[in-house]
Amino acid sequence: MSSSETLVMENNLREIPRMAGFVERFGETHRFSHGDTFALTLAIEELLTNTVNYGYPEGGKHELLLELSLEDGACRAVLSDDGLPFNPLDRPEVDTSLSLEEKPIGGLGIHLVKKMMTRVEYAHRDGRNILTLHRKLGSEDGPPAQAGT
Amino acid sequence: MQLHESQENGARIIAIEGRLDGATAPQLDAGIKSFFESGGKSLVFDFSQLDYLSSAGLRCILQAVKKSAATGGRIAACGARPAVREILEISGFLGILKLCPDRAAALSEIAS
Repeated sequence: MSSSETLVMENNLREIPRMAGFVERFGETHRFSHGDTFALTLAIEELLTNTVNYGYPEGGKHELLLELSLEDGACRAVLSDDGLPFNPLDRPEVDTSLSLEEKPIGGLGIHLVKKMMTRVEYAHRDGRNILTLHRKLGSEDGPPAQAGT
Repeated sequence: MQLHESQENGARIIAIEGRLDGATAPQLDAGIKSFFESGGKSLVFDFSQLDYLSSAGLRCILQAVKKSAATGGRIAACGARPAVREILEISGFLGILKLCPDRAAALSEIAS
């Protein structure tokens, strides 16, 4: 049984439901918990949205690739695009304790990615942004399972 | 995603069913916008049928909470499932949006 699947997407937010269905089927095949599938879908959506919204200021149709695989009790998701080089991990941390008046609208996406994934890595190679996400499997809702559990 | 809007004890209830993500958030934004434009102030979000929530949805909710506060209204939410509750908590939303166990509690929260 192959444990790696690839989805080719366009740079368009309309791809979100197709991506979610793809992650859900992968999760069903490999018996992910609801929380693991939810968290992976969320992290991928946040990164996909960033790329679609900011990666292509000149517009045009581009190909975004998503590869899911299993690795040692974790799910690995690799998302790549040929948009402007941009490392979302460089964004300053958001302060989630701010009051209603001070709370900014937006900026939460990357915060959620970091919280819901065990590890996130960025590389820029051959003209592509490559984001690699790992989530250790086995947790119910919320942050990933801890190593050793 | 489907929105189910109803009116109870003078307050608007918006029940969100399905997935609130970057593809569906504009639909909720439009619903919230028309509610405030028609003079509405207080609102209950019913999350009991909400399966999924990402930052695009959080943005809509935050805008609604800000708008309501600016017009002197109140907002509460109810029925969040564990995964949705986690997202609200991790994002710091439990400090700005009262999460109640059910509609009745949410309605009395915004009435008090």
